[in-house]
Order: sequence, then C-alpha cells, then structure tokens
Amino acid sequence: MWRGVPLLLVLLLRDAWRQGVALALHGLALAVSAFLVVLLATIVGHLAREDAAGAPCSGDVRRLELRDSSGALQLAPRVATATFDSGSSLRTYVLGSQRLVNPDAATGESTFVGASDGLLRALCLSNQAGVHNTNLPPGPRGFAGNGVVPPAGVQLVSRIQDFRGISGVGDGAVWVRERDVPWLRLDPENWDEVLMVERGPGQSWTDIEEEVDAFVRARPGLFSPGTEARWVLASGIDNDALQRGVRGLVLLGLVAGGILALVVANLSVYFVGRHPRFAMTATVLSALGLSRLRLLLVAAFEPAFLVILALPAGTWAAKRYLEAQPGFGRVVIDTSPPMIAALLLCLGVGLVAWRRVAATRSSLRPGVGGFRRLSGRLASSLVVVQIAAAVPLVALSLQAGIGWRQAQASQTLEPPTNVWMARWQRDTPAPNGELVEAIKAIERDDPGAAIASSILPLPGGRATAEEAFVVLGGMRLPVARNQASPRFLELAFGVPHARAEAWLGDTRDGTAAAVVSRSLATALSPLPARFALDFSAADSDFEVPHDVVGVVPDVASMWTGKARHAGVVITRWNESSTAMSGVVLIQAPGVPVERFQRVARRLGADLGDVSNAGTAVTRSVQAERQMAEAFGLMAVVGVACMLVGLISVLRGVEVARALEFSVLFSVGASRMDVARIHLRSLAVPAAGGAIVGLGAAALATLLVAGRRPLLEPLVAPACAAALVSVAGLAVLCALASASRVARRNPMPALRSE
Amino acid sequence: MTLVAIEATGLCKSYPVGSERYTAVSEVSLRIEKGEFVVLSGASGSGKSTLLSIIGLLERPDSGELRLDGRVVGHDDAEAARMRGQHIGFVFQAFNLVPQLTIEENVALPLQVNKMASTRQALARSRDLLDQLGLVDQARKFPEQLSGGQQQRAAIARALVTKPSLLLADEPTGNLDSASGALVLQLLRKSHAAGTTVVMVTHDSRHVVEGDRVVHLRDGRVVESP
Repeated sequence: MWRGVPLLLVLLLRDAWRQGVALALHGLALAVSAFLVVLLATIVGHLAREDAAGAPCSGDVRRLELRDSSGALQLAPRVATATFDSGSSLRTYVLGSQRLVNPDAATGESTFVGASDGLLRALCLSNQAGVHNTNLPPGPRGFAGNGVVPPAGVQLVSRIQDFRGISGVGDGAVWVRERDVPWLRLDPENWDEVLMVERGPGQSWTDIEEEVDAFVRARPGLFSPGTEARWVLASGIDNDALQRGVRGLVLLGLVAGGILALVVANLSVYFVGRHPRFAMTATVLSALGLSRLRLLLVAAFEPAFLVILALPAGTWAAKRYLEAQPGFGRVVIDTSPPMIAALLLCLGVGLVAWRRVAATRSSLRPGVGGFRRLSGRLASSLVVVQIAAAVPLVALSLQAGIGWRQAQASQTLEPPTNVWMARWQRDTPAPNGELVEAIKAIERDDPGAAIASSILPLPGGRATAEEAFVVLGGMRLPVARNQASPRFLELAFGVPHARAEAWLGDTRDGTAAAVVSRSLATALSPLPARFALDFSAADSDFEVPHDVVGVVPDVASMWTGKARHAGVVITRWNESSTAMSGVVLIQAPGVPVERFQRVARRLGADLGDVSNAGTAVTRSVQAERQMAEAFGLMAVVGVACMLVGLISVLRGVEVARALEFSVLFSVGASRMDVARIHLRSLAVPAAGGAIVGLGAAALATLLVAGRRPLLEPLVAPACAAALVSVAGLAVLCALASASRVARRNPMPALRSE
Repeated sequence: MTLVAIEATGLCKSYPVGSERYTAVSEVSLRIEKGEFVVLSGASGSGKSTLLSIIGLLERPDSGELRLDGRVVGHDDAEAARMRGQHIGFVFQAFNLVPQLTIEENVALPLQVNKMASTRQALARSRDLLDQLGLVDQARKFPEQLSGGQQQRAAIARALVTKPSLLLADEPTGNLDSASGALVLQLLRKSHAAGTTVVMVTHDSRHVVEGDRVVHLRDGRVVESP
C-alpha cells in the first residue's frame, strides 16, 4: 500500500488550490445539507408535537356536542384541551362546565357558558411552552400575584418556563394566572362541573370521548335521556390524523433534507468532476497494484473526513438558528439511534449519489468532466427533485411573507394581529367620570389622536341594557358562541345580517365562525379574567350584570375592518356605574404603536393611583415577521440549492449529450434546432417536478394555514406564485443551457476517439 | 440543387491555445470537381480534419471563402444546416452513433431531423439501407452491442441515407482492423461509383491510393495538390 503514498501525496498536492476549493465546497454542501436536515426534522417535529398537544391556540379546537336520542343538540360546550408533556406521559385536561343558561326560543338550542378564556389561554400557553409537572410549595414563591395568593395545599400542575402562564389545582378550585395578570381563583361553585381527563400515552380522542360519555351518563338529571357525546373538530388540524402522520412528517422532512443534500452536492460534483483528482489518483494507484479494498479505504477518506467536520457544523448551526426563533426554546438534537440512523441514511443517499456520479469519470484527462455518463434518467430525476423541493419552500415563504404584510396592514376581518394592551388596575374604585375627563383631556391636547375620540362614546349611561349585554355577549362569544344568532352578530359586531348568517352557517362546519370566535378569544383573553368570571357568575336572566360593563365604542368595527378608530376601553364600574376600578386599552388596527403608547402613557398618568399599569404586546406582528423570515431563509437556501443543482445538472447534461447534439448538428439540425431539442427534453422532468412540487406546496401551506387561523390561508396564491417563480427560474436556467448548447462547437465531440 | 464542385479560397482557421492561437488551416485554396474522390492526407495536426469540417459547414473559417456549387456558403446558419442535412454526409473516425438510439434509429436520424420522411418511412428506408450493408440483423441493437466495423458501416449508412452529393469521411478506418477498414473503403468506393463526391481524410499512406486525387497538407497549408 505504501508504494502509492508518495505518488498520492504528489497528486494531492498538485493543483492544491483547486483541490482545496473542491474540498471546501463539498464540505459546505454537506454542512448545508446537515443544516437543512436538522432544521426540517426539528421544525416538523416541533410542529407535530405542538399540534399533537391539541391546544386551541395551536389550531385545534374541538367542540363537544351532546345530542339526545332524537338528535337534538343538548349542550354544545366549548372544550379546550391542553396536553402537558411530563416526561414520558401525556396528560390532557379537558375543561368545561355544563351550565344551561339560555335555551334559545328560536332555535331550541341550548347555550352554555364555560371556562373563562383566561384559564383556557393559560392552559394553552402552558401547553405551548412545555410544562413541568412539578409540585411547588405553596406560598408566595411561584405565586406572586397582586396580593391574591393561593393558599397552602394548592398543587401547581403546570408552570411555564418563561412564566407566561401558570395554573394550579387545589383548595377546591382551579388557580390560574398569566404574566402581569393577578391570580385568578376559578371556583367550581360557579361551574357545575370541571371535568379533568388524564390522557396517557397512546390515548386517543375516542378514549376521552368515552370518559365524557361516562361523565354525562353519571348525571342523568342534567341531560336528556340518551344523550351522547360526540367530538366535532371545530377548526384546525385533526390531531389524531396528525399524530398518526407524525412519523411520516418527520420522514418527509428527512427525505426533503436528503433531496436538498443531493441538490447541494451537485455543486461539488460539478466542480470535482471538472478536476477528477480521485479518479486519476485511484487509477494510478490501482495500476501500481493497490488492492481494491485499500483503494476503497482511500476513497472513503474524503467523505469520512467531511462528514466528521461538516455534519456537526451543520447541526450546530441549525440548533443555534432554531434556538434563536421564538417558541423553540432550547433545541435538543435527537441523538436516538433511529434519528441518527435516519440522518445518516439521508446523508448517505446524498454521498452515494455523489459518489455514483463522480465515479463515472472514466477519463484521466482533467476538464472532460464527470458527467460523461450521466444518464438521462438520473438527470431527469435530479431536475424533478430540485424543482419539486424548491416549490413548497417558496410557497411557504410567500405564504408567510404575505401573512406578515397582512398582519402589518391589519385590514382583514380578523382582529388586529398587533394588539398592544395597556392595563390599569386601581385598588380603590374611582369615579367613572375620571376616565372620561382623562380622555377628553387627551383629545384636547392631541386632536390627532384618534384613539381618544374613539374612546369618548364610553359613558355608561349611553348604552342601553340590551346593547350592553350584546357587547358583553360579544366578549363572551368565545365561550358561548354557539348561541350566537345573526341578530346577535349584527348588534354586537355590526356584521351585515347576510354575512352573519353565512358565518353562522359555517359554524356548523366549524370554520369561519370558529375563527371569529377564536379571534375574539385571542384578542380579549388578555383582559383580566375577573370580568369574565364576574359575568359568568351574574344572574342568567340577561340583565346587564351589576358590576360589569365595558365599553367600547366601536368594538364591532374593529373586527369587521371598518374601523379606523384607535382603541377600545373596557371599564368596570360599580353598581351605580359611577366608579371605575380598571381600564384596558387595546390598540386598534391602523394605529401606530408609538401613538398608542403615547396615549396609553398619558391616560395612565392622568388616571393616577394606578397599582398595576403597563403595556404589553399580546399578539405581535413580530411573530409573523419571524415566521416569514424563517421560511424566507429556507426558501432562499432552497432556491439557491435548486439553482446550483439545475445549473450543475444542465451542464452535466450538456456534456453527456454533447455527442448527440453534435451528431444532430452534423446531420442537418441548425443550432436553434439543437437548442429546441434540448429544451424539449427538459420540459417533461421540469413539468413533473412542478406537479410534485405543487402537491407538496399545497400540503405544506395547508399545514401551516391550519396553524395560523387568524390569517388568510393563502394556499392557492402562495402555491401559484411559488410555481410561477420557480418555473421562471427553471426556464431561465434551461434557456441559458440551451444557449450554451446552441453555441457549442460540435467538433471536439465529433473528433473524440 | 446538385453540388458540382467545392471551391475553397484562402481559408484560414485558428484556435486559442492558452494565451496564444494555434493555426490549424492557413491560406488553403482548393477545388474539388463533382464526382471526384479526393483524399486529404498529412501528418497529425496538419489541419486536414479542420479543413474537412470547414468544407462540411461544421465550422466557419476565420477568413477565406467557400463555394459549394458556385454559391458562397457558411454565413447563414439555417442555410448551412440545410446543406448539411440534404447534400452532405459525414463519416467520422469514432463512428459517433448516438448511444441512446438503436442502429436503425441512428440511420434514420438525418431523415427525421431534416423532415425528409415520416418516422415510419425513415425507419423503413433505414432498414433498406442496412439490408444493403448487411446490417439488417443488427438494426434493433444499440451501438455498443456492435463491433467497430459494424458501427462504422452503420455510420456510413447514416451518412448515405439522405443520398447526399458530397460524402466527407474523417479517418473512417482509423479505429478499425484492416479487414473492417477494407470493407468500409469498399463502401466509400461504391458510393463514389454511384456519383457521390467523396472527400476522405487519412494519414494512412496505404489508403491514399484510394482517391482520384491526393491533397497533402502540412502545418495547415496545402503542399501538394496534383
């Protein structure tokens, strides 16, 4: 073996800069491949894990319908679930209450008031961020609120790493809090029941449904005979289906990463193919008597070296990138044997493909290229996978990008996606007029502050009892939306009657109205949950609750997109409606954050005696921007890979078909004819790639759309635009290739011996 | 149109080699009458293949003028393509059959490229020609399944399928054993006897005698053209 070493060294050192560049490019390709594989696998795993959790905010809302033996709807509570990942077990809490409050005379449907949004949201947030199933000692530690502290015995069941939300069970109640929100004691006395179901690993919704059925059967007095529970997917993704598909999705991510790895590797194939260092080395060493096995070991040195260096580098980069993204927290690379095996398999596919292509170099002459025997089938496959891989990435990027712009504009039917909220809590109720005076003062000093004028129609006396209820009903809609009638929406939100009817019609299919409902929940849930609780505790005779009323000049038009008003103020005043103990100011669409903050500061200062004040972003355009950036980065990488791959493959095809083109030229084809033949042969694989890519793009964008219920899904336009843009780039590459083919001198190919 | 003559005047062709230019053909003037069998001979690098490719309109000269049948050619790509397809046939040393096509498809290729026949007709004519050349049994095979001599005969069939007036052969026996080479030369002579003007490049002195006339080239120049 050692006989060949000096020669090997000489050959390796010869033209060292080219070899260095080739090695660097190949390493870069592998690192990018590893980056993409880890990125895709982690994101897919993350999405799947989140969706598997089944929290309302992650796009899965299930409605429990209880129907009696005649099929009549008995009860339609909103049921939220949250899955706590505690080690190896999954526990699902199903929260709801069964309190019949309003048999609707018109429809005969029963209505239902359920758990507060605050609780649901807290659980939802808990679920999002990952939860420790930890028992904390009672007392102030971990329960710091605004003076209301859960007593001893309350067992903390969930806590979020960043303390965005926390909930506990004990003392005969459920305790819940969010960041900056006081502890809330949810007294079961206000509910008829709180049902908590623990879901173990592998337990399905069907299992839970059975539990609920058992719950119903155990309360014959509450429900009509023969009542059965049935889950209805209100919106979002079917978790069961998704969970079943988790492995498939992870595999899809890995396969996509493998494909991209192959695409990226094309660059080094092309470059190395032009300087077939190893082919020359191997041939010479073989001629010197090096055994095939030893030759293989020499051949394995380079990829092994690169894998050792590039794989950890790409993995580390992906980890750092993901950890910088919101919602991911600390990314732990899954080093379990199956994942490592899958990762190596994907990279192995890329390497083997690279080796197979590179190994076809049959000539010792540098510059001849490694594509001489690039088969048409392989080339076609490469064209297909490159386009197919790029289309969904671009579609996702476009979808996220448009969504971001949409969120910025906030001109959709959905609530503003950049909701800033200012809250003031006063220990001593102050006259309500104080707020009005403060607002008037702002308006006087800042005539341009639309926020002030929009707040002005607040005086409590202005609202009639019916209107006030309607507004409150609107606030309660997330938990009581099933009794919403067209008239209700019309009054509460100014929604045209026909449109309201359409929405409600959709409700039965669990689409639009659910989105509206969820939109409201998202926007309003940051409000001090006490309001909601107070309301739920109020008499059920639809009188204006004695201690609540918020309100809200043009809350409806915020959601309908008509509003250019700036804010919503919800106040709580006492029985005589003369005192205020809390104010919430919410940014409306179109209001610059700076103006909102200015007015909020001013209002807070004018109110004085504020014990808890501040502004917070409750839902931000930033999230949409970050999503757009993440997908944009992937799209840029994907498109770059596609371009590198396409250009490399097309150059390879040009070399591989040089003889064919030259022969065609010699037998009478013009240069344009040859170019046309070349283009025609590319059309079929390109179309195949486009079709596959379009399907993948539709799947991916639908998946993402299901997770972003507050924004337009944009599946069709994103897919179409992605297809057009990717196809346009592919056409440019093909035209450039055809131009090269047309200008190619046929003689070298015709004369080669 | 029938080609009656090739008239080259002052043809020059050079290629870049590194930072310099290598002159392959320099001031070559040549006249070939209709029906002649002309052999271009010379050592390797003397420019004979380059001259042949210029005559065959595969390459354009840097300067000089080429007339085929009295018409100046080579400036219009479409016209050159038409001439190549309908009036010129090529035979190369390396056969240059398209490996992805069967023998009969290779032979039918010029007819299809030049839209001189439908696919069915082209294949029928291809098989007829292959039959005449004793290759009909090999019609459905791919080039790599044939011997060198058989491939070259198929290449000659491809060159002749359009019934060209001018047959250009670049070292047609260079890759063949003597028996196969003799067979190929016999085919060229047969074609010549049928009235085709043949220009053959060779550096093998044994084959020089095949032609009516021998044109010797050295360093890109015609040194002897009796």
